[in-house]
Amino acid sequence: MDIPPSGNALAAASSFVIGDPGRTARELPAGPPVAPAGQADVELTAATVPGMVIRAATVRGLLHRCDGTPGQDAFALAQHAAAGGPRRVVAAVCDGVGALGRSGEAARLVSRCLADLGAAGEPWPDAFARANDEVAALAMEAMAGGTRNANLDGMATTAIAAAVHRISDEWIIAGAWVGDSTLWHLSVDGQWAVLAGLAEEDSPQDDAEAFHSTGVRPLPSADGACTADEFSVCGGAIFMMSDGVANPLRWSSEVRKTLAGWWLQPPDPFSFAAQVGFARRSHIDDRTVIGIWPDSNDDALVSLEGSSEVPGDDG
Amino acid sequence: MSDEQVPERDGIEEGQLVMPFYLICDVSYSMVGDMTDLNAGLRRLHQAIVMQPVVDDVAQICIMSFSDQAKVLLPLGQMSEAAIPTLSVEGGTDYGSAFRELAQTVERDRAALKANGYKIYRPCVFFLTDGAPNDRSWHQTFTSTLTYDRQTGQGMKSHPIFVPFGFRDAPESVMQQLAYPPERSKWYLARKNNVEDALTGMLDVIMKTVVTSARTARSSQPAVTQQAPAAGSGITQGNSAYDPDWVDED
Repeated sequence: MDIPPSGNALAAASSFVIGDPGRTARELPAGPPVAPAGQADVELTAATVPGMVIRAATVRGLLHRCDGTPGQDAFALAQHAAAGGPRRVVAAVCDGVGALGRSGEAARLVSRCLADLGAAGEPWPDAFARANDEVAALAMEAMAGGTRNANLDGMATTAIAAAVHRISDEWIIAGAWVGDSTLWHLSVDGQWAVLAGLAEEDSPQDDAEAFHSTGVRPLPSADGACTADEFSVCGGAIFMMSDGVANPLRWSSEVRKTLAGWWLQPPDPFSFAAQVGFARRSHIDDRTVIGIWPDSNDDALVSLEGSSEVPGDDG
Repeated sequence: MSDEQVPERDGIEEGQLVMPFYLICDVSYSMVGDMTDLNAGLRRLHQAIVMQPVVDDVAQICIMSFSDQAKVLLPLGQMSEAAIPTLSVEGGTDYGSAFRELAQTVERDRAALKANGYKIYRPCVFFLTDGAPNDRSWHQTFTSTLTYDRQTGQGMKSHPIFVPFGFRDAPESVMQQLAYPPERSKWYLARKNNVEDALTGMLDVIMKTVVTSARTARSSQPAVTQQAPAAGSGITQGNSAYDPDWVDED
């Protein structure tokens, strides 16, 4: 078997590698531009909100590259600031269901809708219900105007959204989710702890309870119901991510250790995006991560303590 | 390759997704004129997988043979790391020996992969035969070794998806009973006189099933996706009629 050496300039994978990158990362060329035209393979954003540094990136998975299809993950960032209250980062991560051809559109719509509604102070259950209505309408329109083939024109997405602020060293998080995108805490000593979003994926669905299975309950759903909860953790950093990163993170101590080393402090945004797309054999799904770190230069601004309306407060 | 490359440890990739496939081939006397075609088909299967890194990274293949006894010729592993064995004719057509060896092999592989931290999709077995079973208790052996009764908790909880391929003298009624579990498996039967074409068509279905399934092995996608035979191939595909209480009246 003649496998090109590592460093193949034509390969499209990230130059960051954890363990065996696999043949796909080493050999798969970038391939033609995706259709419809316009969607980038990598999107990244850097932001600062008083007391917090934010990095967000979504990277098209190698399987989509292999198939010549666009990535189906999305993220959105906003901020929420009520009078007299702390400034909050509002963040959403969505993972389009790969079996349905236009799920990327659902992920982009829902992530932006949730971020906008969160920024407006809408409680998360209401925001999810409205996002569900919007994506249900878009899904119907896509099927009616398309091929009526769900594989091509169907759409669905998981979603996790959170409003995050700091009080001194403490992170206060109001989160809500549907499906298997997850919320994590990385402690100052490099330990990862999942806070939200794993229950469905972890439930045994393949009756051996010994085999990996992949079912999730996405949006649109009958009622747009979500799970909402509030979390409080001390120190470290907060991450929201799609399962393209969360799965190898959960399953491999090597990945946990490596990502902790890379992300204990906020990387520059371009390095962050490349790290999100790290190569590891068989993990070729889309990748999306939003990381939120304390801004050590701005700690005076996080001593505010307010009780303003916040997404999730009424949920 | 990397700006920052973290080395693997002893070839073990904790959390790696693995989709195991088992191909067990009938090498009874009646296959004596077919071995060249069968071996050529296996080499094509190997080449098709190796040509697609995205498939080769996820799919692991085990090749077995059976006649009076069953054996593992190529242990479960990545195709690009393996040399395809050459199959040769042996003895009779004892399905029971195949089922027992399969069950042990699948369970042994599952335990080994899990012990190393791999994430395993439910395995898929392709059972390729040209004849009726010589052993009268084949159905009972199949049920006791490779099926699972959810209500009683009896049987092989980690059973594979069993996909039978029959040609020449393989009875349709037997193929129907071997497609398991009924809601996830189909049977295939070739009635063409030309065995070379039948074997080519069946191995083509197997190849497409492996390639398609491995490419969908990621979140929110089904795992094994059985492919339809090519139009004009003379191969029919049918739904399972598996019944644990079925009795062979022939």
